Amino acid sequence: MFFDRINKLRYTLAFRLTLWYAALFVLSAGVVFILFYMLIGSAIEQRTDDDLLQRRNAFSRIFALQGAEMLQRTAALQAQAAGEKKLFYRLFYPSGVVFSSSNMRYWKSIGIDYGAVEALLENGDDIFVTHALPNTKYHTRVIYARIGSEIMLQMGYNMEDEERLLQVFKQWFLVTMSLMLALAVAGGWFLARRALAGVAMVTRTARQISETDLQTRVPVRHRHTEIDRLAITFNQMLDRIQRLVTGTRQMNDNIAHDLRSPIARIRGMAEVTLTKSETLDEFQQMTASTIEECDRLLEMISTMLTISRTEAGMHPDRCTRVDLAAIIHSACDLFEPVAEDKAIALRKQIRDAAPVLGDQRMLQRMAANLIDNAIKYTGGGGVVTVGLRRDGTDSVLLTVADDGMGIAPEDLVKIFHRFYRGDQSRSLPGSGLGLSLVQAVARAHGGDVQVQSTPGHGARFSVTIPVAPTDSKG
Amino acid sequence: MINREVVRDGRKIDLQPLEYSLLAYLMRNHDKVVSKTMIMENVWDYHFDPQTNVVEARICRLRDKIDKSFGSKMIHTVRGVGYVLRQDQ
Repeated sequence: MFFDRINKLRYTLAFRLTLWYAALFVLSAGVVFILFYMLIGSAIEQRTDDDLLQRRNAFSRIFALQGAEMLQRTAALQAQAAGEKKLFYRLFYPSGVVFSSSNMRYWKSIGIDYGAVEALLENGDDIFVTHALPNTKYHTRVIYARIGSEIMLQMGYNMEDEERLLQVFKQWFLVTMSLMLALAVAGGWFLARRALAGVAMVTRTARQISETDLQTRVPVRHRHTEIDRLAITFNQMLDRIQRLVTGTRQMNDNIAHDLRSPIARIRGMAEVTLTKSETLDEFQQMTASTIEECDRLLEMISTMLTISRTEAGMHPDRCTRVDLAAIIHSACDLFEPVAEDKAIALRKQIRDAAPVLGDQRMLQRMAANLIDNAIKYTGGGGVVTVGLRRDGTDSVLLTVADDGMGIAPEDLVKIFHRFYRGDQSRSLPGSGLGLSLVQAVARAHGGDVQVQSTPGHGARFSVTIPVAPTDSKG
Repeated sequence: MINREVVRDGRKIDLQPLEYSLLAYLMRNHDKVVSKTMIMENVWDYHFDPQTNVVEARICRLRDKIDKSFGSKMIHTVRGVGYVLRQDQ
């Protein structure tokens, strides 16, 4: 159980962040320590070398001015002053015979390094060597130098004191490091948890939503942190989902309602005919009505499918280069008698050819729906104007304007929803799908549809569709 | 057909291009009932039914021209199904 939890914890972001934080901390502190340690070590060696060199130079001067006798005495004095265990010297001939030295009881293990002597004889430069003292972890720095032509000097300096200091420094560092590592882990864990608290909150809300409803929102503190932005984005997504779900639910209700009415009518007619009718003619009437109702239903269902398919995107095979102007001309011709019957003047204002890349049938349908609508909602003696012109260089603008009943402002957005029918249009035939299809087709062609209306003074639909590129053969 | 000239009982009848196409289609399918959808597809190359009955309006026009001033009816409506061009005996 416990190990299970630890195992799970291993994969959490907070754990990883803490680990990274601590690791980076230790690494950087370690690098700093090693740098310091090496720096101090080399500084100690440098100082020791300087000291040895100073003494050796003094010896050279004394030998040159006052001779070997005085040199021996000075060397003995210096070694004594520094301490037997701190400083030693040997004065010897190039042959290796020692003629004078300090008390060597402590330094027995350090002999004369003949390799160094030979090198010294060859080029005359002072040589520094570091010897380890037996049974201790400390070192001695030794200089080999030529004092006169026949006199050689070996002088050693014990670095124990300095190295002890370095040791203490190392110990203290390790103690401090472990303390700080503990602090880093605790601090890292705290910071990571704190930073991720918002994420946890979003997670909690998401879980709540999947369990209950879409109403809940993640609280936003408006501090413009990353978590706040996540929360806002998450809430926006929820809004969208809620709208979609509500829309889908409403559409389902509408579909159910709109499919129910014709079926109820068919059933009613069949029942009446069955119980009351006697003649063949009456039965024939009923059959004809049934066919008409069924056609209406079938058309509605196939339109729904077409809208869904169009919204899902256009089929590339159906996409060709078509002239929207020709389509509009033929659509106007198609509706001419209908308009005439209602004494509506159907005016065409088609200025230019309008080549677009699209699905001929869908564009026909879009144009027909718009003109159909305009005629339907315009009273006798009205005017319906269909216009088509270039809108800038890269799109065409199709407008269908009428001077009919118009659309209430609150309905302007909703008329494009599937099955939505304004209060005024309920009495007129129609499925409430026409404008949804117009919108779907316009959008599938990379354009869009807009509507302006003054209630009582007509409506004006504007569809923009991108012009086909000139080099395309379609 | 090529000349697009329509004559009934020796009288020449003026038809608009769309009316002519509609009549030609009905004549090609004489004595057969053609549906509104078939007319939309074959005469206008439209593959759906508009809400408003544009076919009916067009048939009305055609009837006015070829049936009205003559004794017998040639274009008949079959309710719920469509239309048929038939020479009544």
